[in-house]
Amino acid sequence: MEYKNDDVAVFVDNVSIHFNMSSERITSLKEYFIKLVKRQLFYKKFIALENVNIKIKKGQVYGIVGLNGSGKSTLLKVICGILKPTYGEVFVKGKISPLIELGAGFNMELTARENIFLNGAVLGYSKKFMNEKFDEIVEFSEMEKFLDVPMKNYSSGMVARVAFSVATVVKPDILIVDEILSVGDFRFQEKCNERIKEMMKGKTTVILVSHQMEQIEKMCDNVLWLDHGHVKMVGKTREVCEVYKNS
Amino acid sequence: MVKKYIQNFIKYTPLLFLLTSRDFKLKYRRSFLGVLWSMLNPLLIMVVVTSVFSVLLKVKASDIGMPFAVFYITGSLIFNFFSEATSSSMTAVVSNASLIQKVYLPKYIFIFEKCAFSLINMLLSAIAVLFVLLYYVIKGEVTVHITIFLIFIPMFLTFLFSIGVGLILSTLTVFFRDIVHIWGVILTIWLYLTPIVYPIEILKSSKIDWVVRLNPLYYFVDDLRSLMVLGEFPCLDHLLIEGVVCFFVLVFGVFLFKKAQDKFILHI
Ligand SMILES: Nc1ncnc2c1ncn2[C@@H]1O[C@H](COP(=O)(O)OP(=O)(O)OP(=O)(O)O)[C@@H](O)[C@H]1O
Ligand SMILES: [Mg+2]
Repeated sequence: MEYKNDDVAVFVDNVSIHFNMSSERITSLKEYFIKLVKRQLFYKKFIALENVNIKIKKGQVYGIVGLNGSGKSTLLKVICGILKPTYGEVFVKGKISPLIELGAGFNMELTARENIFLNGAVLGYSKKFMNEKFDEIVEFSEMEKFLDVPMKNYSSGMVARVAFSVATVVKPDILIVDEILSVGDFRFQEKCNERIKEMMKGKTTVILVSHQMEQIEKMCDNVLWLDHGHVKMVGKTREVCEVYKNS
Repeated sequence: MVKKYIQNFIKYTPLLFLLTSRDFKLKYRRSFLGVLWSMLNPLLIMVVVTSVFSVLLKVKASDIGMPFAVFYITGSLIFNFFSEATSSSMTAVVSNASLIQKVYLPKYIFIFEKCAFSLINMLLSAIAVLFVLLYYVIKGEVTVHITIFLIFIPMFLTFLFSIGVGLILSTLTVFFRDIVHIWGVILTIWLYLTPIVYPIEILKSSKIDWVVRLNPLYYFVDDLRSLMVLGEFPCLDHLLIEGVVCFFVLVFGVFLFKKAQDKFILHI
C-alpha cells in the first residue's frame, strides 16, 4: 500500500503509540515466572500519542511545539521508522536524515574522524561517498583542529556541529531536527539556518521541533501543537503560536 | 521483496565493516602480543589439555586416527567459535541500545557483525591449527590430503548455525536479561556433550550416545577432522543432517527476530 498523492512527503495516518509503563518492568525470566505464578503480570499502559493525523507537503518547513513530555520526540521517532506505531500507519516518501538527538550513533571513545565515518555508515552512506565528502563535512563543522581528539572531550555544541554537518551533507528529501540547533553558538546557528534554507529551496521537507518560539516563527510555514499526545491545533505558524504562547 | 532486503543489506555493509574493525581494534589494541595472541592461546591450551587428558583417558592415536593434540585442537576450534559467536551476539542488540533508539537500522546487522568477528578470530586460530598439523606432518604422524582445502565447508556451516542461534538468543535477551547466565551454563554442558577431548566411540554403549548424536556441533567437528586430517570426504547423511539443522535454526531465528524486532526499542 502506498500513499498516492504526489506532493505529500509525510503522511501520519491515525497513529497511536502506547508504552508499557509498569512501575517495575520485567527484565528477567526468573521474575517473569514468579509474577506469573503469583498472578501479578500487569501491564500499565501509557498513551504517548493518540490518533495523530498529519500530512506534510513536500518542501514545507513544519514545526512541532508542545510542553515537555507531550510526545514530540516520539512522533519524530515514528516518522523515522525507529518506533513502530501501536496503531495506525506512517507513509514517508524519500530519504530521511534524522537529527533526533545529539550525535546519534557517535561513540564518544572514538575520535571525530572515526565518528564521521561511523555516523556516515549508520546513515547508510557508502565509503566512497564519505571519502569524497569528508573535507566538506569537516570544513562546515569548523572542527579541523580537533579531528583526532576523542569526542568525549568535546563540548555539546562541538558535538552538535559535527552531527549536523554529517547529517546534512547529502540533501535529504526530509530533514528531521529535534532541538539540537539550540546548543550551537549564534554563529553556527546562523550557519545551520542558512543550510536549512538552502535545502528548502532544493525542495527538502523540514520537520523542526523547538522550544524557542522565535526560531519556529522565523522558519516554519505550518505548526502542529501537541498536548499530552493529542493534536491540540494545526495551522499557519502565526495563528498556532499566538494561541500556544497565551495558553 | 527479496531484492529490497538485499539492497538494504548492501547499503549497510560499510557499517558492518566499520563495526567489525572497531571490535578488532578494541580486542587487539591493548594486548601486548596483539594478533599473535589469538594463535598462541589455543596452542597453550592444547598443550595443557593434551598432557592431562591423553594420560587420563588413555586415548590411543590409533583409535582416533590422529595424534591427540590434533584431535583436540580441531574440535575446540569449532566449539570456541560457536561459543564466542553466540555469547557475543546474544548481547549485541542490548549493548547497541543507544544507537537503536536514535536511528533506524536493520538490527540483524549487530548479530551478523558479532558472528563475522568471531569468524575472523576462528580463521586466525586456524593458522595455529595448521602449524600443529605441520609439526606432526614433519614428525611423520599425520599425512595431509587434498581435502584440506574443503575445511571451509564445516566452518561455514557452523557460521550459519551460529547466526541462527545468535538471532534467537539476542531476541530472548532483550526480554529476559538473565538468559545470559543460563546460556553460560548451557554452553558448559554442551562442551562436555561434544566429542572434543574424547572420541565418540567411547560412548558407544552408554546412554548419552544418542544425546551426542543429536548435537549438531558433533557433525561439524567430525567433518572438520575428516577433511583436515583423515583425508575423507564427509558422508552424505552428515551433510544432510547439517544442512537441515542449519536451515531450520536459521529460518526459525530469522522468523523470531523479525517478529520481535519492532518491540525491542520498548525493552532496551
Ligand atoms: N521508551 C519509552 N518507554 C516508556 N515511556 C516513554 C518512552 N519514550 C517516551 N516515553 C514517554 O512518552 C512521553 C512523550 O515523550 P517525548 O520524548 O516524546 O516528549 P517530548 O515532547 O519530546 O518532550 P521534550 O520537550 O522534553 O523533549 C513522555 O511522557 C515519556 O515519559
Ligand atoms: Mg524531546
